[in-house]
Amino acid sequence: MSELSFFLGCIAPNRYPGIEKATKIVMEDLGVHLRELKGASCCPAPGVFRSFDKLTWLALASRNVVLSEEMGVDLLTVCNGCFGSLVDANNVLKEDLELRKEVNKVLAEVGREFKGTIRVRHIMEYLYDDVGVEKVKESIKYPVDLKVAVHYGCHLIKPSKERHLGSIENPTFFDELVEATGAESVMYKDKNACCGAGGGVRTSALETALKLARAKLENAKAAGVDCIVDACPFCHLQMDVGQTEIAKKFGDVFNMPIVHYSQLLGLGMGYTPQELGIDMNYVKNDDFIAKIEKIGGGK
Amino acid sequence: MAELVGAVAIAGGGIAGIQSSLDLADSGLKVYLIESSPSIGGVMAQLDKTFPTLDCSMCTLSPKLAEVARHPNIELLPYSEIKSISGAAGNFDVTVTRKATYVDPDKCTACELCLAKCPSKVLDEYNEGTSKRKAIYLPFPQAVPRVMVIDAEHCIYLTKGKCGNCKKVCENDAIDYEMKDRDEVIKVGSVILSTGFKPYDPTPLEQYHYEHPDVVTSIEFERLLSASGPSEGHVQLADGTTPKKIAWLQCIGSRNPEIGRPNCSAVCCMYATKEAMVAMEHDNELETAIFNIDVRAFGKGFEQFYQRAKNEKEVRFIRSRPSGVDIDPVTNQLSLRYEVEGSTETACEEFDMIVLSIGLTPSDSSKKLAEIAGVEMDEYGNVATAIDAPMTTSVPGIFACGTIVAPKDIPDTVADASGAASKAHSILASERGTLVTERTYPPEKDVTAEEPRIGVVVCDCGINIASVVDVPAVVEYVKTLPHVVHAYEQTYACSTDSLDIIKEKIEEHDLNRVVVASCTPRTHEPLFQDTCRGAGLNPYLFELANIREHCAWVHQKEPEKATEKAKEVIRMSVARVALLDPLYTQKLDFNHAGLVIGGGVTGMTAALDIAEKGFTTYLIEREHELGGLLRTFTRLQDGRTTSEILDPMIAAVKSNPNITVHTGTTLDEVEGAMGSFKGKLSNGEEIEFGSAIIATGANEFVPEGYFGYGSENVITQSTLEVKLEEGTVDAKNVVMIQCAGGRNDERPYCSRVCCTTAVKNAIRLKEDDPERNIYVLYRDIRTYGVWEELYTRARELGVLFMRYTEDDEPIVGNGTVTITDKLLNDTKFEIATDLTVLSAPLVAPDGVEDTATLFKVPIDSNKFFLEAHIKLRPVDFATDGVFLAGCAQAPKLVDESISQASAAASRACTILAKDQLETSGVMAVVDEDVCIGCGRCTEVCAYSAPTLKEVEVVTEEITYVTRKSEINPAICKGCGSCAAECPTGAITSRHFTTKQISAVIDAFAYADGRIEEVA
Repeated sequence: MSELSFFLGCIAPNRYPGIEKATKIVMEDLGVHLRELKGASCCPAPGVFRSFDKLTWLALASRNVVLSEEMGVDLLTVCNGCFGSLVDANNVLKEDLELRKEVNKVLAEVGREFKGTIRVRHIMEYLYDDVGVEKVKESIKYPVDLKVAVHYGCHLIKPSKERHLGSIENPTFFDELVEATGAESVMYKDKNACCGAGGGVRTSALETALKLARAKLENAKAAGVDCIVDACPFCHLQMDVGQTEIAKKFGDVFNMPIVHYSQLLGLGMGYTPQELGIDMNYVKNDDFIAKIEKIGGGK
Repeated sequence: MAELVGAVAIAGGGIAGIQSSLDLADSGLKVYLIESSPSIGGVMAQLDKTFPTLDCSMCTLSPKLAEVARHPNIELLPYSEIKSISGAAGNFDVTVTRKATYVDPDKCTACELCLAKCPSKVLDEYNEGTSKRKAIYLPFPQAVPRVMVIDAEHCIYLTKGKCGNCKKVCENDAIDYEMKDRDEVIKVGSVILSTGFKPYDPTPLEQYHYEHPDVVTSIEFERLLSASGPSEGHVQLADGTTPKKIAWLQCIGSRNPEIGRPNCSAVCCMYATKEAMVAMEHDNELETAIFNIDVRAFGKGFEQFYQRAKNEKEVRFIRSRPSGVDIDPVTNQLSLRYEVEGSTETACEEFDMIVLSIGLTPSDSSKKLAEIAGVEMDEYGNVATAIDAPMTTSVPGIFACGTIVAPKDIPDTVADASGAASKAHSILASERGTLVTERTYPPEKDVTAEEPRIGVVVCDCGINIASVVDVPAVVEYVKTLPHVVHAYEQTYACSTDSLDIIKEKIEEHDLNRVVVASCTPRTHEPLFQDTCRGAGLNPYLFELANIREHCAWVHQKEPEKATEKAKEVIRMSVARVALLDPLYTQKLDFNHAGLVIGGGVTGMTAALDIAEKGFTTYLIEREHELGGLLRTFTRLQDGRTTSEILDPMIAAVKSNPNITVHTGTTLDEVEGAMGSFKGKLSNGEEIEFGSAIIATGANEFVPEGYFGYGSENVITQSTLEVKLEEGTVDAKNVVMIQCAGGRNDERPYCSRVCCTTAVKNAIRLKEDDPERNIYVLYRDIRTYGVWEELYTRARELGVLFMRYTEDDEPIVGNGTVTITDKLLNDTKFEIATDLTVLSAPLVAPDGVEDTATLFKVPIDSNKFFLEAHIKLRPVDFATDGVFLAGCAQAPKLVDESISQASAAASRACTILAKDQLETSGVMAVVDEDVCIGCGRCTEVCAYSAPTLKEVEVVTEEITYVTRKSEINPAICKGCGSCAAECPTGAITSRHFTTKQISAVIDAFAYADGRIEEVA
């Protein structure tokens, strides 16, 4: 059994604990044991901290990485934002020894040192590269009969030249993993567009952020999908909580269920929507819950 | 030292290589023009129109192609590549690999019979893969050399051993499947690298979705616009429908450090504007939009062109760089999302077609060639040169020009090419004429007293003519025409053996006039004229009747009518040839000295370049010191002081024994023409010269009335430069304002140099004191080409750039500058300022009108001198023997001025290097008895060939002084304008006399050979 440290981030444990739980159980079933990363802080949010002060960002992010270094395992995130922050910090400090010296001065104050011994992993690229689409397919007991809109999210694939995840414009790894569960990934307009949350936009310019989310939801709805699948609690929150805000602000009601990939995978493995926390979304779509409860013939 | 070789190898047959070749060949040096593709012409041959005049690209280029083809001093090595270069300056061995074309160029007549039978279809490079060609092909209709080539990779016979159709149908046995690549060593004294660029391939920039059939590159769009392109000039979408909305995306593959291409490509803003305008001319319903970062309309006439596109044509210029192209997954509709300038909004707009304005990138072959030549490259893959020696590479004797050095447009490339030719010429000046062979001809027979005895050759042109026109019937008819003593049919009149037959027939039948009825005189007349000379016949006793283009091709569906028309066309030619007179060229002695007006960096370079070639040179400077405008600036963009280049140049000029410098002197009077100018200087001295270069430069405009100029702490860039050098800039907050007095109604042009100068100085200010706040207020940042790196560096150093528009200019107050920043949603800023620096445009100096009048050359509305052709003759005047260079033509940077200076010197030396000036046989002559001296001829002549001279007329009754027209045979082009204009019929245009033309018209009207007498 492989081992990884599980970097929870902020949103998953506080707002969507279902994502955290779903991740733990599906990874365990795939033979990956997730260990708690004790003492982890905020990643910190890449759009905000990195934009304002590089050294502060690097110090905070590298501390989280060091915790995992000390455990001697690679670090796993289920969040694009955490991934963006941690993987970039890890890469920068592995390559730029001058900067590493600077950061280690700060870390020394808390008795730690960045050594550059581990990798930062995102659940999607980990599943695709290390577990493999075939193994995921084998784990499916009940094919998930849903039409879904895949939302990659920005930090997962960009900056593309550092991610090495294939085509920037037409990536396929997420879709392949979705289709491995038996679901159909439906092409929709502006599939790679941002959800609108990141870069501090949701915090500072909510209306602009919601307009972007609304476009995303409109396009997914137009493609006739059952739900949107993401791999990031912040995108998840933006598209889920955002729907209630959009309804209030603009009067548009989508009723679009939002599912994290670990939850979708869990459905195929035979877990119930309740076990996976899919019913804990803000958007209440009973028809959808009823539909996914029937996966595998109601078991 | 090894012996000097009077020959030059030029690598690359685009417009740069062509220009270098022609200059050197005209100067008496042997030229080997090496081109890797089957035809010369380069990218310019693919372009539809050229900015900013919308001239047809091919129409201006193809005469140059033909000139190269028939120049006796140029040996063309097409489909060839340089394999190695050894030796040293003055004596190089260049090994050239001649790739097998599988077609014998001496036998192929490009009849195209093989084309129809070739079964292998290949994507056509000339049309950028938007159409198909055959495996045996002519690259494009105007190709030079005009011979077929087999694409070995796609030829079925060469790849599979089957087919062989082309060999079967070729009636001249030109196909040779056994042909092999072979190496050839040529000995030269100098090498010029001019292999140009390749268009950037946008495929790696996935976000622009080049794979979508209606997302095309700008060069593909040129082919779509071109009448010779895949859709005959009708711009079409992939589904065959007509686009209603087209967008251009600028800077694709340029100004993008992410992909290692940080620099500006210098030409894309203008070609996109041109493409939009031409597309709208094709279809007046079409809507166009150009998405840009800055519109870089910096060249001569560019800003005016841009304003015309924006204001008259309503091309939308949208200042935004969309991050990608969106494609609707269901409908495949293209759309663009962009920031709306001056607001927080983003817009999404649908387009039918998107053109990617791809940049210029060094070609792989250029990189390979640079390695072979051993010349240093810069970090961007360009051949490295310096500001003060822009054509000189790191290897002595090897020069570079055009886009192999940096991205540049056609006129800059042409100037560069002439400049490189000048450099090569300078080191080989002593060897002029040593490797060129004069052709010898038998003595000419006197036919003036003879009755016309006309021979007519009617050409089948393979089946080009014969499949439509009944050639035997035409031959029989021709035999019945007056004075025709012999007529015969020939498969290919132009093949080498056929030319020998023509000579034999002239002998055998004692012919004294020849008509060939075949194709176009544009390509073939010189060939047949030469054949006539070879048989002792004056070349002007020849006439070409075009029965291919005018009969067989345009009337292919009506063979009978085509045959009738062919008979008529030949009848007209026979009527004319009977009346033609033998004409002779004259060789005139002339003055070989050069004159340069203006002692700035341009004038000094030009003088040195002429003097280096061994000619006496006069350099006239109005000021008391040499150095010109550059003396008012202190640093170059590369960080060197201006004196680092000025001081050695001034010393070189003063110490050159061939140069006589007159400072504090003006040229007050000029008379004469090319070869025999006489001038009078302000000090009373008289000089004689054969050619002149005007390099009178420009001054920095004094921006009186703009942005508070004149008040304390408001200065211009040149003053700032001086203060920087003295270390007397005492300011923490500096604001620079661009276009101070430029790009407005009074001076509608862009001064080209100011953005680069401002950015250069902003960097100096910041490096001087990093705590300084520098603000550059601009309309468009035009740091074109490689100078984009200065702009990037300035931003990295923290210089702030803020955009304003012409209708909302910054206001300079007391200690503040107020600006509404267009990039930050029209936010108004009040900037505390200690020093305001105005970037004022360069303007023409006083007195340019006088210089223009002296040489009868034109100036434009901004008082810059007007060149003969804005694209292909950037340093020539229409007036022979007079040239221009540097800021006198338009504002430009130092390296560009130097390039033009060398170019003008090269052009002048093509004249000065000749032993004698040879006049054309076809020219106008004046009958003084009839001339009334009205001077109308002097007004209409575009070349200033006629002048009025005073003559004394002596008759029995009275003796008086009157004026008579005199046409300078060295200048006359024989165009006939004066003859048409002359109210008394005193001027005869030789070879096109009224009588000769009337005969042609009569022969058209009367089938019986009647000729109406004309006066």
